Amino acid sequence: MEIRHLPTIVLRGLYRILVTGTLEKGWGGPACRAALPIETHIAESAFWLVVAATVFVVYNIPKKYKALVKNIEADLAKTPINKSARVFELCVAWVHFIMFAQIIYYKSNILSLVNMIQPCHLILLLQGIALYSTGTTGVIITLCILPSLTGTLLAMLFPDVGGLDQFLEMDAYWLQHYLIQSVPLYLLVRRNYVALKNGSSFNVLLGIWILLFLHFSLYEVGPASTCQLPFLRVCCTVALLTATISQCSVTSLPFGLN
Amino acid sequence: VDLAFNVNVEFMLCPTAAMHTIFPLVPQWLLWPSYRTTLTLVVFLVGTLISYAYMAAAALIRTQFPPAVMDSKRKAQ
Repeated sequence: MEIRHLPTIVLRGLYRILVTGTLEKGWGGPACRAALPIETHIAESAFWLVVAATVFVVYNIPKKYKALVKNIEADLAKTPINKSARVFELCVAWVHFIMFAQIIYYKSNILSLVNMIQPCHLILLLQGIALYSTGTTGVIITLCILPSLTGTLLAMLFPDVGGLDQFLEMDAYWLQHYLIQSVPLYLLVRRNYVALKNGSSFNVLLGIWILLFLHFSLYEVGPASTCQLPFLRVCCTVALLTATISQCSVTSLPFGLN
Repeated sequence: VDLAFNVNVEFMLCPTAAMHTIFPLVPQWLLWPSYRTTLTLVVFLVGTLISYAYMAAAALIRTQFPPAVMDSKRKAQ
């Protein structure tokens, strides 16, 4: 094996474990890709990313975020940690981590690890970290995660559970979603309501802003540029821009992957 | 192969089957330039409502179990 072929082999291997199973399950594919023209993808994403950038600057998010962190630090310093509550938090945090590991197992089994970036899975991990944390991180996660519970609620009201056919996978799906919906309430009231005290329209806006930015960058850049692998996003974005400028669609992948 | 890279993560590539059922029932101008903008606006609205609903629920708990009471209980223990 020549060393110059190594990147291609690694990329092919990663592609296999990230995407192959997802396409086999019907979560995407050419028919799905044809649902929207590439021009709509580009125009819509550009519009919403400009909106996100404008809000970031006009609303002065970094300054307000620093002020929020400062307030939380001051409040946490005044609030002692209850030992029994802490034991409970650690136990529930580990339940979250184990469930996250379980999802990794399920997704690696069917070679669809790209689905690990779905918000419900990320929320599960973040809530585990929030419960584990005794500092500002936990409170910040608690406050910013609230708007994203919309998706979890929709996933419970209109579940798209096709393909969840592994042992206990469906049960894990429901347990995970009930956990995600209920734990934020505890996170808001713990440590003498520190999170609730710091809850405001700013953290709601910040949570929505994060969702907006992630959807039209992380989740969108892949589909729009016909590249899904995270490490290819930068080159795909460049390819996408080039394609836009030259008014033609991207038809090939970098690193000789096509 | 380039098309095979397309994965529908977070419905950013195409609508789900449930969405296909709902979309014909709503005016088409609402889905311009695509369903994704409409969903984004819906998430703004619902996300805000849900966030305030959680905070309201936590505030309700606080009225029943005020922090001061919790502190005094801890001292008593």
